[in-house]
Amino acid sequence: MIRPGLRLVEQVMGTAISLDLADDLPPPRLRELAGDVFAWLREVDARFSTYRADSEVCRFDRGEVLLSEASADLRVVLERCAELWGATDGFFDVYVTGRLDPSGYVKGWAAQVASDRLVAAGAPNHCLNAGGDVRVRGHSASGRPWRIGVRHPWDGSSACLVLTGTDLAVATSGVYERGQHVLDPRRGAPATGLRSVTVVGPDLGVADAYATAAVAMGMAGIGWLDRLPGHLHAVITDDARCLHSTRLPLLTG
Amino acid sequence: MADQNVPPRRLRDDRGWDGRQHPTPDGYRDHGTSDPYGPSGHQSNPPYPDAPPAPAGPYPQYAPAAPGSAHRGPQWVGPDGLGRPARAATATTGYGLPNLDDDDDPGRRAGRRRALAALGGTAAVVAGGAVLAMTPQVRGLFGGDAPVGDATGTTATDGTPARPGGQQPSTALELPQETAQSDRRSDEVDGRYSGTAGQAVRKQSADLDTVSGATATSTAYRQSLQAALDRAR
Repeated sequence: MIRPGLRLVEQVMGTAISLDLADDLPPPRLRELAGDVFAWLREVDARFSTYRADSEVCRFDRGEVLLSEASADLRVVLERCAELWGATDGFFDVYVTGRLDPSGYVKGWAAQVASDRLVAAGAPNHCLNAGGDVRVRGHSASGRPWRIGVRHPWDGSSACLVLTGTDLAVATSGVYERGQHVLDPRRGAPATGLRSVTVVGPDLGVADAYATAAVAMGMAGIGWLDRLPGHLHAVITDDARCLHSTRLPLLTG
Repeated sequence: MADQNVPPRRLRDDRGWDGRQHPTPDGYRDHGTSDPYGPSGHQSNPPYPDAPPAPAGPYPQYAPAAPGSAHRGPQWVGPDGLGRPARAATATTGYGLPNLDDDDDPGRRAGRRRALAALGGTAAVVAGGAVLAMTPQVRGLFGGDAPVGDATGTTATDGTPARPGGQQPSTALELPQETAQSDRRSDEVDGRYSGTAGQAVRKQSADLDTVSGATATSTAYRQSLQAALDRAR
């Protein structure tokens, strides 16, 4: 039996973006929707990448673009990043490396915007995975709520938790994939203590920023996540303990 | 700067319990009835007409201030300037914490205590029996297990003494042992999601739609479970 919908993978933003459209729409329409999504993500990459010297972010960082001349998207992103800097007590810091690097928010934000646009365009059942940050809506092509595995921190071929839901933004930050790359902005040193932090919430960009901030906090991040309103979490510590919200939508049975 | 408007702390405020109750529960002195900050119905007269006068304690700052006398020491400074002199609290019969040691009339107290003990024991037996009789499902109905906040569940280690964190790859993490369901789930996860990559793909592609993880480079993606799921379609 051929499932309805369309599944595509594309390398954008230096990582793989997987799109799963589960709506039973005509194939040309699905390809058009998917094309819009990837076009948007490529556009975001061209404007927000810190690896491209001609991107808007880099030009803004060098002072070649004033804030008043920046695009509306860049201003929105900078404003949200400033809010998140305050909300995370300074642990989510786009200037932690000394240069402007909003990538920790941009990837989740771009995926969230793409998902919102898909809903507005009449595709309310989809799953968008932007390099490990997942936004799911509705149901999968098999008609059940989406099932999102959380990657096992020590074994990339297995999942250690399985979440399920019809409207979730699931963002995971960890130090296992690219080494100790999350810096504690207060000490300027790589953060230790938490190996993987998954935050579940309504907005993927915010969830991604919260997860990154919690990793930067280290063990103190567990208590901080506990008091975070409107978000659920799952934490795996360096000594392989797993802690999670009691209301986390785990797949059972 | 607004914090400078609070009255300064009194002497000995940072000490532990010194055997003497504070004159007021909040540790501040009472204000007169005309004071805008004092409780309007809060009379500083002793509530009992026959109460003995307040004993002169060893703390001179608690001694009743003579009316009109120039006060020394800290004063309340409100928005209108210096406030009225804080009236001295009556030490023992004032507004401090209630004195629970009614040493007079010992017979009555003992009787009351016995009655309370008997009553409490009965209540404990009844409540204990009720708790024992409740199944987890029934207990769930009472809401006793409902999380108040976004509490982190209890933890389960994955062989901590045997394997220090990050030293060796682990096959699977145990789930927190909160409920019987979590326990069962833990076995399930172990059985279904461990093994070689090929098995994992075959088993998981039917169950998982996607995988959330730390951002992988393009190279790392090729070995990831997400890539396996993408290929399986």
